[in-house]
Amino acid sequence: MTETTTHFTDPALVSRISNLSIHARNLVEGMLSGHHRSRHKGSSVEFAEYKDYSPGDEIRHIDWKVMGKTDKYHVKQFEQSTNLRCTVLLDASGSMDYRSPFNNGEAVQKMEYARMLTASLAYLLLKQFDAVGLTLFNESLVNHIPPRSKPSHFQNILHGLAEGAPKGNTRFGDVFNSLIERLPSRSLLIVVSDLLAKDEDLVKNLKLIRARGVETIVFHILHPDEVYFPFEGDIVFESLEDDAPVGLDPVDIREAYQKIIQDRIDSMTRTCPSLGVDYVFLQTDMPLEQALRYYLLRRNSMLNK
Amino acid sequence: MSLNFLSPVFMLGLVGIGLPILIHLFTKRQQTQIDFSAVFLLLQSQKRSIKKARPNRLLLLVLRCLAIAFLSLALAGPLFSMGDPEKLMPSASSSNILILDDSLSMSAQTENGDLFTSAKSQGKQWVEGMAPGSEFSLILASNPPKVQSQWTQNRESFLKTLDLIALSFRSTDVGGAFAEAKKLLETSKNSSKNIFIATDLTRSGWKSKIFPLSFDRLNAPQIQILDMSALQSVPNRIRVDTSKADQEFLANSRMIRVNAQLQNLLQDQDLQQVSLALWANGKKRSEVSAHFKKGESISKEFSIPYFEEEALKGFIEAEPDGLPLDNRHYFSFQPEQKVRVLVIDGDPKAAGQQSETYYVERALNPFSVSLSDIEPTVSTLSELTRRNLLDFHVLMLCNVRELPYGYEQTLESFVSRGGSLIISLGDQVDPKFYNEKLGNLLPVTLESLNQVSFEDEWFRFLIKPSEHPVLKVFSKKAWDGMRTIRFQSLYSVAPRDGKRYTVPLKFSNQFPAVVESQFGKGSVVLFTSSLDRDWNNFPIQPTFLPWVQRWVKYGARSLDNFSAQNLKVGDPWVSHEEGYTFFVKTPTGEVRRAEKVPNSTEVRFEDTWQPGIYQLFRLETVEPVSEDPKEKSETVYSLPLDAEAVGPFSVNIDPAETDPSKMSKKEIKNLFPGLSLEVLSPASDQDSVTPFHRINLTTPFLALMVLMIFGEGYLVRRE
Repeated sequence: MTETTTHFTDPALVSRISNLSIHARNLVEGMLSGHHRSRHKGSSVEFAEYKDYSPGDEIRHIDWKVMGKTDKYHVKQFEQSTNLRCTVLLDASGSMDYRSPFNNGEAVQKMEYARMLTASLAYLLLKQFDAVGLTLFNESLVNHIPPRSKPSHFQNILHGLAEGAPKGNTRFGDVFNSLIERLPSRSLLIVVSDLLAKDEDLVKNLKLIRARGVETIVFHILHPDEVYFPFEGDIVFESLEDDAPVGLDPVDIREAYQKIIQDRIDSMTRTCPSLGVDYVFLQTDMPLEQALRYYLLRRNSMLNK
Repeated sequence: MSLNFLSPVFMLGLVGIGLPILIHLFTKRQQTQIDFSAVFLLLQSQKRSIKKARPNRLLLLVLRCLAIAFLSLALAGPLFSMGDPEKLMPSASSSNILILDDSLSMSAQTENGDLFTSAKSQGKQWVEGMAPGSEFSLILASNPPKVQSQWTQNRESFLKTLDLIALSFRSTDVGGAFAEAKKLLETSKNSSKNIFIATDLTRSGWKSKIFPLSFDRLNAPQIQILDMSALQSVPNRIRVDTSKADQEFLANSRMIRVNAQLQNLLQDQDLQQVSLALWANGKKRSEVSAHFKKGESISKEFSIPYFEEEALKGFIEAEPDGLPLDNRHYFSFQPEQKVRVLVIDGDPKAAGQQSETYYVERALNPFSVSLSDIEPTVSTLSELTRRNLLDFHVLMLCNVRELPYGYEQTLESFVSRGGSLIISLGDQVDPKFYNEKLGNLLPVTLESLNQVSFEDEWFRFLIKPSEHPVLKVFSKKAWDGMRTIRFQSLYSVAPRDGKRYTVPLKFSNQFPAVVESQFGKGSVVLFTSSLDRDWNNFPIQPTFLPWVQRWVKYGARSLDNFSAQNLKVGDPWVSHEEGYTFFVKTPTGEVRRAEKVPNSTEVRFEDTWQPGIYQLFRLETVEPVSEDPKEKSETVYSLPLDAEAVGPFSVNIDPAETDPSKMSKKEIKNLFPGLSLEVLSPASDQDSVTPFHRINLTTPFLALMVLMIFGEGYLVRRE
């Protein structure tokens, strides 16, 4: 109760939520218009097959017409077109809070971009009657909103997104360990993160997740500064996480840094498909539609399986 | 333990450290702080990057500051000392006398040069260590001692003077130097007085009447004696004490015989296979090796044929040791083509054959032409006083009754300087004169005339094999011929007290026939019979000619050219010859004129400060003597064209100077009763080690500066 009060009394928060909401709606609505809007409309249950009645089966599911014809009790089985249960795993570690010192118009802050992406995805999913949950994490789980498919759940998601201020370190190992039990099998996990973690067990954890049959999409979000390292001058780089500050001339290491980053991206691009994980690299100066479009394509292909 | 600076003003250079700091501050780039997400990746990149980290600017700054600091410290002349800083760098001004031993023995070799160079450098450090405002004076302790620099406060010019001092070939006279120092101290201004003497403590240099030395209470100095002898790296083993050249007239060809006296200066070691060489006229003519027992002195004789007309100039040299200058001894010799003989006829006759000297003259020069190497001049007694004996080598007095009044002194002078006197007797001889006036020259007195009648047995030579240089060449056949010679008259002689003589030849009755003795450098030969036919038939015997010739040549054996004087360094060359102007060509090739001593017949040449061969020339015209004595000695003449070469003389170092015997600390302390005296020994030859045990840090500081600059350059280059 107190939380709710807090949510709605902080004007900045409210404004952020409404902004998110409006942006997400605009984005998704715009994208969906004229596409597969009616695909799932009204469809609830679909006949799958008959099965011999056995005690315990619901009597109302007995197909009396078949009973009349065959004198046997058959129970109608329906393929339940359950909504997709999707959990968005959003990185809320300190590194996501990177704010570029350069005033370049295209690129937005990394966290803002991630929030927008998450909100849009949530809206999109809810719009399609899928259940959406949100989990924020840094070293551990910070906030977990279980998946729901009610349209009003969007507000909860937005709250979750607006609340979490990025801080702490990124530690995939612990997070995946505690998350893996909460994830329903045959669900969708969307990871939104900059993947800037010192531990290299992300791939291992993705493997585990995939082993449980969880579809996984990784949105790798980096600010252009983090990719191109355009700094100049004598600079002390203070870490947004817990690393010691480093004073250096960026020119000296620019090439080496760019190579390291590119290696990491290439490595993910190579490894993820082999695990059955979808990997999407996004720079914050890229339009969000690209990400959403990718998701929709992916979603379609999942449904068509 | 202390660190002092010779020129602290250079410490102002430390202010220069501010310069790199200012530059650092001005050029420091503005550091910006940026919050960044992937700092751990930056660290990884830094490790991988070829361009490692940029240089540590702080380290560069430190290196630059240190380089400037070390430079200014080095310029300030840092001295590190373990001892009392007041002793190292006195704060009160003082009067300081530096006595520098520039004698020959200081040329002894050390590991890095010679003792003299080390002594100069030690003296320099002593001067540098004195308080500002101090006055200095420099005395050279070679004989004669010389005040090289009077009191001066200008330290730089004093050190320059010190630098210019060169080693001399003189002996040491520490006593004289202290006498000069005492005089100087009486005129000094400061109450604090110091004397610093750097010497090798050669014993011969400390024999002076001035010791034991005492000062007034007010003028009493602090004396520091630096014993340089400890630095000598190689001992002085060999010394050539003398060398003397003679002409060997008795051989068929002209041979020069050089006799050298050498000494092993080591009292505790035999010397084997010491190489000795004879150098003559610029060439090595003979080489031998010699063995010495501990401390032994030996003589070595070299003989070389010599046919040249000009003077023989050379030296005997032993193999080098720790003091090479005393391993060489110069000699010179002016060979005479002719032995000039003045024959005084005491009984001249109108008929030549009856003259006393008829046979002698013919024996000496049988063909009246200059084929013989003997040139006789026959003269009567009355002409004797007009003859210059210096023109002759041998004087023969034949049957001379008595000499002109006072002439015996001229005769003594002639013989003592190397002339030879041959006296033959006869009927004119006055034994009283000979016994009374020629007491110095003749070792025997004439006793009585012995004569034989025709019936009696004749006196004959007593023929015995003889090793005498004159007689040993006669063959047996010649001796047989000589045995037949008949003597009818002869004087018997009696020895004088305390006189030494030899009798090379006797008569059959055991009376001496020839009496030979030495007087000074020359010799006196007395033949107790006559050299004409009055008393014997010897002159018509075939052996007479060689017999007379050989005695004359033998007499001339010790013939020194009269100009040839063997001098020690600093001894004046003196001549009494009148009517000539003498010129001397020194070993360095300069020509100088010998000075005439006013109111005397003496001519002197005093500039014999260098060992070597000096050549004499003379000119018959007497030039007017210049009035200014200074001008005389310093004027360098070119040799007049018509100057006649007289011959060389040699100048050698004083052997006593290089005696290895040194003064002990105790002996020295006894020479300065009641004075504050310190005898120090430098530990090594290095400049940095001084008697005050201080270390000059200039070089290390400079090295550190260079190191800093290299380090800085390396860092910058890496950037």
